[in-house]
Amino acid sequence: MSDIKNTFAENTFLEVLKKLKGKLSKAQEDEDEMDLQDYGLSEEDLQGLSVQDEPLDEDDEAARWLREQEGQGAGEEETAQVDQEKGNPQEEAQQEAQPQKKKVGKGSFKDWEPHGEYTPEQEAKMQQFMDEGYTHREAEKLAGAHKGPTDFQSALKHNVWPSQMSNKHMGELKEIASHWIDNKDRMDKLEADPEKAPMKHAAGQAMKAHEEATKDYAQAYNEFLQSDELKDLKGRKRFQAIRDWKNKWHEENPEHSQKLAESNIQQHFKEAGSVGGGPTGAAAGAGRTGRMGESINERIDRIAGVGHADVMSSEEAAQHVGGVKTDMGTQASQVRDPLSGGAIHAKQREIAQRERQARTQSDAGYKANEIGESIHPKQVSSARKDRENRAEGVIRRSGNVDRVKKLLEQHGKPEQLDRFVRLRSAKASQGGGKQEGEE
Amino acid sequence: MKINSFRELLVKKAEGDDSLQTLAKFVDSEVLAEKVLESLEKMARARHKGDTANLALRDFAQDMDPETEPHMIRDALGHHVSRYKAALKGGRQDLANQHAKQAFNIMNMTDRAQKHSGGKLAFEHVSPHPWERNKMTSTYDPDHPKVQEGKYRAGEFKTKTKGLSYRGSDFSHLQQAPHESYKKEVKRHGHAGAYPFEQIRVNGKHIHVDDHDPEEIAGYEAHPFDFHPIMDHYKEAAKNRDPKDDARYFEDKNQYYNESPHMDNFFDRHEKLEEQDPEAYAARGSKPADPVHGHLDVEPLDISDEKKVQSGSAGGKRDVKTKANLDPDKLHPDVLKVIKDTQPDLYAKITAPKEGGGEE
Repeated sequence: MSDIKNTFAENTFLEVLKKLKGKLSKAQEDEDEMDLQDYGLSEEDLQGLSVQDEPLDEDDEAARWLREQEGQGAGEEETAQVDQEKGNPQEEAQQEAQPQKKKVGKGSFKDWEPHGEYTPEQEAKMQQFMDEGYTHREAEKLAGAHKGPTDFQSALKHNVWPSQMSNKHMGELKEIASHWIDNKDRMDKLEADPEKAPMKHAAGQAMKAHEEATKDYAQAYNEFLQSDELKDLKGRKRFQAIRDWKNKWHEENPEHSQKLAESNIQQHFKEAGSVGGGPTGAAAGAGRTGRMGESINERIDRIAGVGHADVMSSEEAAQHVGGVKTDMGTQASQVRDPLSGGAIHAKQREIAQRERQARTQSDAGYKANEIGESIHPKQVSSARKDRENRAEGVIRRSGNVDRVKKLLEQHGKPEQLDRFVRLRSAKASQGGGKQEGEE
Repeated sequence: MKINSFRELLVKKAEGDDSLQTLAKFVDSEVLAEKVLESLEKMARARHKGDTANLALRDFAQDMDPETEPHMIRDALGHHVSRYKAALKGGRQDLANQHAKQAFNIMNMTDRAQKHSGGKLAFEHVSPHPWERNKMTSTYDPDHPKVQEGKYRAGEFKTKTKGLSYRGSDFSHLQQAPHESYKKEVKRHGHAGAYPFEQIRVNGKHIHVDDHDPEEIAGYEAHPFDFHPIMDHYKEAAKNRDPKDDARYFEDKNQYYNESPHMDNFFDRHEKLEEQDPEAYAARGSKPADPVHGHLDVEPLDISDEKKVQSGSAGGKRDVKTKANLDPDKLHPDVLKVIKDTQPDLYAKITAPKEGGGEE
């Protein structure tokens, strides 16, 4: 600073700014290397100034504590001290400028030792706990013979090292930890994502449903188990008392069984799909199961429209006959087997429908031919165009499989019709087919 | 918040629970590592077990009396293991297999049920996977198509072990030492010989294994708990159950507890045992029985090349390699203090002046 002060006296304002700028740049470069908390002043800066801390009050509690600590193992201890010698401001400033590292040496903390002031009862209790496997220190606390800090200020000065726990104590804490782990497991199941972890989600929902359905019974039963009626009973008498209570409760609460049956606890696992335990229903015997438990047969059924009494979209119909999905919709220059990957997921089908609707509103480009031909507007005769429009309209409006077949017979290529018939036969032979003509 | 170590993570996670925090802060590193690995292993294997329990199993777990059903289960396991032992001594592997199968059946049910019991049932056992592996040792060759595909690795076992869900009828693998591929797990629990049935505990008490005279064992004998309807219903997957199945279970359960002689038979036997020797009866389960396979000459699995980690109290001696990252300047003074108390050799090593960059 002094050089800046001098600079002001000796130089112009611009030169001063330049020098300041230089100093700031240098400071910025040094910033990474500097301890940012080091706000120490240089010797030069402090010329003419004096820095002196107020002397500690001799009666201050903190001062007394410091003196006590200094008295123990003073040879190895370094404590932060302020130079109280007057008339040596440079030394004081230097000491203050350097951040003092407080090292806690061996002397300030000590090992735990029993205080020895135990009553005979306390000693007996402590011995009992130690025989069970607790350490002396733990036994002292368990026996109520512990003499530790009684207030906050004393606790701050507490200077006894902690001790390694006994295996016995650790085993008990493990039990606490297991409750914590169980709770976490419970929350994980309740909050599981049904898409990502269907079985975990199902387990959580089943657990929740069971708890809801048996809440009243569980509460009453637990109260009975804690009651005085059972306290002194053991063995056969205890069993008989509990059995009689249960029979009576169920007689008085006949709706409990109904509630349990209606809770549909196991339904959650059925919905989540077959993960372990084998396939069910239509998938039985099909072997492999899909991601959400859907078997190959069920996929075929869905693809072929079995069970879909309502709309079969034109996209889907086209894919039956070998459509190729392009940006312009389903088109085909060759027949493709939908089982080889041409069939689309329901969600994709929906997206495809929306795209198709958007496309029909856009400028004419390639027109999607729903029965499987790629066409160019210029190449198509008007009559054919009319027929295709009609076909497209029929499929979109009705979605009826038979009408698709009829249209194929009338307007489609022979190989397209052949493919469609073969798929329908395959489905029918698997026993899940819809009757021809049914809507 | 930057976390520098697993210990810091544990301390952070245990916020709000002073006891756990203290444990996490000051426990010895080796002990901590051992406990964590043990817990992780148990969690990995058993965490999901029982999650898909059907209604019958949930009902059984919730409805049990903490003093009756666990006692019956412990007694049933003791009964079958005792007869298994006697059958082996008499050279009757077929009879031993029958009793071992039923013991595993009961253990499997208990393991699944404990999760739903609200703390009324606690089941501990040594996992039988390392012993079961002796039965199925064929591995994938490098030129196996699935190895070529990348689905499996060469040397990987073709068949997974089932543990308590083992469905075979031959249990002779329990009389061998565990398979060496499970060395790490075996090192942790230390049971390197034949399968330790005597370590099974139900609600903290060991099963009671009697020493029957093989001559007196005529054939297979069931225990009253074998007739509990839960043994017929627990295995069925929840998604395969109908309300009719559940109704059948509740009916059978009602009949078992109210009308059948099984509960009376059970209590008759125990009242007689208590009358004969009250002191011995009260001490049942307080410590493990003699090794069930003790009469067999089984070469234990060699786990001696790496030191078995012992969990010891303060002052216990260890022989642990100094780790390169144990820099005393970077350790908290409290941690240094704990190391000094429990491992004076290690403390001396890490606080010794370093020589020319040489570290173990």
